[in-house]
Amino acid sequence: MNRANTIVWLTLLIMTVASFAMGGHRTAAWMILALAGVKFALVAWQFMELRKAMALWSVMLGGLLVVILAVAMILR
Amino acid sequence: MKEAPAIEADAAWEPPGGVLVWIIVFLEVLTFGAGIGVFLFQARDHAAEFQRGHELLNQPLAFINTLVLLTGGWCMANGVVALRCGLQAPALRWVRLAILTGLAFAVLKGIEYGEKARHGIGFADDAFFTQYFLLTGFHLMHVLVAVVLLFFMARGIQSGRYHSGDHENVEASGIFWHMCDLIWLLLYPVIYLL
Repeated sequence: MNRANTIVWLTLLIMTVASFAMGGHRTAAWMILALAGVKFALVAWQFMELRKAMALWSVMLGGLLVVILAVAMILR
Repeated sequence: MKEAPAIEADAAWEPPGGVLVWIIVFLEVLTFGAGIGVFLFQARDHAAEFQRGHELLNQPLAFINTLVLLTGGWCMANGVVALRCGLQAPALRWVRLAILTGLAFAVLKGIEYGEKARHGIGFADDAFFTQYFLLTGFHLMHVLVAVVLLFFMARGIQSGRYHSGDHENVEASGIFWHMCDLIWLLLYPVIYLL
């Protein structure tokens, strides 16, 4: 079992519990979306091993994530 | 002698799993991102329908499904690491566990859809449920495709076809699997929590 993977997995679970607890509260929307963004980045960075690839890949996926979250924040 | 640096440069440029699967990742995230945009646009135009629809969703089930999918991602990530280290039996165990989480996700999603059907809620009932079934249904299809891919990877690991010296197909399938996590991590808050 990979220690870093396990730490990231536990972090993801804790963040999911936090998001669920905040669900339905309109004032917490930005926090819920921010947590979703961090979870997305953790999965890409650790589980998909984007950290091992050229930085350009992380920049492109990160850029796409920021655009989607920004659109969600504006339209929500 | 002159070609060696070029090969090294390619290896550094290529993300894990190869370029092709990452092109799929980008296109899928872009497509679902656009879907999320349409969902939120519709929410503005049909506020009452979206409010009512949101109240009819099974929040705890979606929450559990998120935990299940993230656990599947952890299993698959461990499977790839184990295979690279030449640990064939643990790799097979992790990939099989990932398959189980994918199937569990599909079963829970089936229960969720079944609930909607029992309440007489269908695909074309209103703007909310059309979007809900479209987005979650397409995502479920991706999970099922990933389960089939992992099934073949597990068979390959079991037979010795994939090992520490040949694991790119397993890596690429893993990337596809994690892509389902990425998409769900965007869909879950927008559809269920906001």
